[in-house]
Amino acid sequence: MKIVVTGGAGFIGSHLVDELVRTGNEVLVIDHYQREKLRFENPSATIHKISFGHESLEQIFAAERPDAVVHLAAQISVTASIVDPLYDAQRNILESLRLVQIAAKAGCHRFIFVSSGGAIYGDHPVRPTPLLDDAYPLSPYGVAKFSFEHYLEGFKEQYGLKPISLRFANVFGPRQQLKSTGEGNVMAVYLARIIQGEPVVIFGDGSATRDYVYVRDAVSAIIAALASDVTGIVNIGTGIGISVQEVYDTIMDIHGDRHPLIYEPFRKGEVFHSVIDPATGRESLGWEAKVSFREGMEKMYAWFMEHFGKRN
Amino acid sequence: MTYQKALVTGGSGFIGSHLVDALVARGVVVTVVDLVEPTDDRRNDQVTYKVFDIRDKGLTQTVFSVMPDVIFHLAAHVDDRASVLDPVMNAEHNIMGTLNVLEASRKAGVKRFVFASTGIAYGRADVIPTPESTVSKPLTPYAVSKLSGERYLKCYETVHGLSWMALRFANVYGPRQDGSKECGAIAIFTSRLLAGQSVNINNDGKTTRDYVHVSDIVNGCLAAADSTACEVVNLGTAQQTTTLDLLTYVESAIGKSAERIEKPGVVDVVKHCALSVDKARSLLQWAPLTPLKLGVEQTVAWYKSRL
Repeated sequence: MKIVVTGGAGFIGSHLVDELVRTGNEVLVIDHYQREKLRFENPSATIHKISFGHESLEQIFAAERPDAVVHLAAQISVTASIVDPLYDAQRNILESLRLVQIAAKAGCHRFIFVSSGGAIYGDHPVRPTPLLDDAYPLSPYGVAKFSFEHYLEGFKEQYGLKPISLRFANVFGPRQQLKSTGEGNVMAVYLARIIQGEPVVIFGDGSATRDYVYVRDAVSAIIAALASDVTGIVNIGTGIGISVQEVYDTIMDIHGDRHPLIYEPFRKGEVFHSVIDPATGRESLGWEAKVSFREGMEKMYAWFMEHFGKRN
Repeated sequence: MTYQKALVTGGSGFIGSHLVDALVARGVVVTVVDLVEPTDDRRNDQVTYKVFDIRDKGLTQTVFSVMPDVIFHLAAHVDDRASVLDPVMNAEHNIMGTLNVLEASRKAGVKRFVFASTGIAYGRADVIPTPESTVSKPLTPYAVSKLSGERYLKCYETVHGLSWMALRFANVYGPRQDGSKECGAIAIFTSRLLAGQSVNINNDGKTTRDYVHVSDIVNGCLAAADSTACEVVNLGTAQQTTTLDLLTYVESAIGKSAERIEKPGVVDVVKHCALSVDKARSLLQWAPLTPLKLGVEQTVAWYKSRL
């Protein structure tokens, strides 16, 4: 297959590209190379260093005529979406809509959208949260993801392109870094703090939970979606909630040393509890998470120390 | 809630102009933001009209200079079929536009935000008349854009404490509706019949819609501003009327039969629609007061008076 991966030089994208190349696919990466310090290039992939909203996208698709698109690139910060919801919507709705249209026009028959279970379900009282048709996201970021899923559902009847939305839990693992803004997932932030010798900050009392999917498992979910014709919306999670305190404790355990910890007030717009029921992923795609939190955390810790740790 | 100042986006439009008149009659100071100046029949002399796109940065300045207590956000790109052909254009207006109005509202500390949404957001509902508890499965980009607006409102309530109500309008009709556009079956039928033109019947003419008179919608908007509930509420009649029956009403009000041209190829994405009004009754003490036959007669009389 010829597959376009937006955000293909980033964290999840680069792992996906490596796996797609390894299994004999032709891969085109669309990535604007702006967010993180490190981007990851697979020498066998064709890389276009542009945003997925770039004008030249239509020509690239017309020339390449890919079979499938995996849309990973996005404005990914919940906090930034609260500060500037217009920018968030510009990227995650409007430019993403344009991408679908361009793909459909170029004869692409599969569109895989990486959505967000945590941001869409918000603080849902039922945990693990099953696949829900309706939700009230707590942030503009979540609203935009939810909206785009709806657009894709509507397009099923209009375009010859089969869309599927994967509502991911929180993905973690090697190559996950702090963004240029200093933001990132909680593990990347904690690891960076440890390396910099600064105290780790927990927002809230440490009891907030997340469902962490190891990046290799996240990649398997996308590969399973590429291999199937299933349309609609699917949950991709482990069904297990890990508290922020547990994340800190696990990292400390791996690190072998207690690092200073401070608690600060919980940030508005952030989800408190998020655990995703993986039943639909299992039923629709035959997917399930295989890597435990501890095992994944060890791999991420090792990668982080190797790339950002102090050499001595 | 009592209030002195209101800002109405889309106040030069069909529904907006009626709302503006009702607000002025209540003694409210009204500012309109609209892409266009109102036509003479839609203009209210006591209203300040600001002509620009709701997506413009100038919107925030206007909101800050007016400091309205209430914003009625009616401005939108409302052509459902056009949104299918160009979803990005529709989202530019309805998502970016709505977010720009919301941002200005929260910055200026607007006390109440009333949003014009649509019953089409339910998609193909199993239950008709459709209650608000039904899961929305919007099928067109226009419907998605309106549902997105509602979700943004809820999110602004959570994050910024915004007080809001989203009103899911059924198919609104009445005087001042433009019969030259793609939407508004009563306006189109009346205008064409009075001009001696033929009438297109899409599909089999058995598509049903819930037709609600604009005066009832205006009362619903006023009640929504007065309420403090942050909810999605339907405004309709709970009655389904087929396209063919509707044409019969128009024909009998005008006293002449239309030349009907069948357009079997035009598919309506949503075949049947009527909205439950139980929630509006209990929450807003609102009910539709205009029977369709009477409303059509009044509307026809208005079009005739302009000939």
